[in-house]
Amino acid sequence: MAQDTVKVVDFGDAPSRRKAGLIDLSPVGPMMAKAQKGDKRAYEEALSLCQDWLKRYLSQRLAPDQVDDVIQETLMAVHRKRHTYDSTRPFPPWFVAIARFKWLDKLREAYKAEEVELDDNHGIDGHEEQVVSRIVLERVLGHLPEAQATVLKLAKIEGRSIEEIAQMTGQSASLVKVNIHRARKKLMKTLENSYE
Amino acid sequence: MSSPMSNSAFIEGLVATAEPVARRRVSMEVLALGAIALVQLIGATLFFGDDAFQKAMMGDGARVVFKVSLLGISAVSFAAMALWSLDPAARRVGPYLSALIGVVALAGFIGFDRSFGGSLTSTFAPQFGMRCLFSVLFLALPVTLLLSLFMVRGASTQPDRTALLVGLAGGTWGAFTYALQCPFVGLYYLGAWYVGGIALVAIVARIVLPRVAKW
Repeated sequence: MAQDTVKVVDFGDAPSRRKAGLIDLSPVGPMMAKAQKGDKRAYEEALSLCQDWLKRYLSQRLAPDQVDDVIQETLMAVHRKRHTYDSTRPFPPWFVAIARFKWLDKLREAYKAEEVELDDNHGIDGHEEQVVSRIVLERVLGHLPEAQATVLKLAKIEGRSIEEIAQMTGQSASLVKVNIHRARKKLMKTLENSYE
Repeated sequence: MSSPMSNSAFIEGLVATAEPVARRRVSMEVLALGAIALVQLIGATLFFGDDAFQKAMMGDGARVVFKVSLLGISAVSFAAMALWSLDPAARRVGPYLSALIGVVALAGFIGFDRSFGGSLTSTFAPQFGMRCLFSVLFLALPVTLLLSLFMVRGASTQPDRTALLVGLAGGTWGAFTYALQCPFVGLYYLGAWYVGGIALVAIVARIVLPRVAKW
């Protein structure tokens, strides 16, 4: 299938667009260099700018109630790994890679929890939008095989139960679960590959 | 679930605990890795004896040189890729890793002795093979542990692949050190015992390291 061959998905992280909204991360580099030497004022300014950027970036990718959690997880990661920033290189690619990593981590974590629900045969509660924003989901659905995209859309955007989906698509309930599982795996892979 | 603390209070907390940090320097990591590899080589030479390599060369010398070169180049390449992947903004290493494994496997298939000289027992019997396997595992430890330390300190955004690379680099370096005194150049023997040793280190690293180095 032609869609399967697509490896690079641009979710707005191309180098020329490393600005979430109007927030430019380029000035954060020198601040971070000072912060590495112990300048607390520069560090506070750097983290505040990062936080503003993250707010815009993550609100396009996550459900609203997840955004602050991931902002703090990302800032904590930046704090712990600030020694890995090389001040001779631009700051945005370093920071955006960490933000994306934390976002995907959250997604993976949420999917793992929902897989247990599927295995327990409780059906699927809620919508995918509780974890990942509709914008991202709709873009990624185009990269999934049709059978997987259909069940994921019905389950996660329309909120249908496994039984309803089985009736609508003519698939058995267990095949619906398998397709949801495969669709999520493929979705994660597509998102991970969109790093480049 | 919403976070109980506001983002600005969270930032204040981070700033309050911020101390100066020593920046990660790849050149220092390369130096440390080179130093430990050199110490290990000197130790192995002392242990196996000065003339161990000459003795190993007495059989099929050309293939022994090929084996040592292939393992050495592979170990350095895996280690370089592992260090490269510790940068959060590094490109995905998966395609390069697959390509490298493919090239090494192909080179091994073409270059090593495929004639199955000797019996099935001498190729797959544990008495030689197990010694080879355990030596590879033991000799893999220093480089694997040092690279693991770098992984914990670094910030890989592709931890599964970095962990695999750490294991492959350590395992291949262990096999390289052992190969300096080993005369065997049969494809099936090397495929079973050398590759077995390298694969064991890589599998353990791939399973353990992403959990240890989680950030």
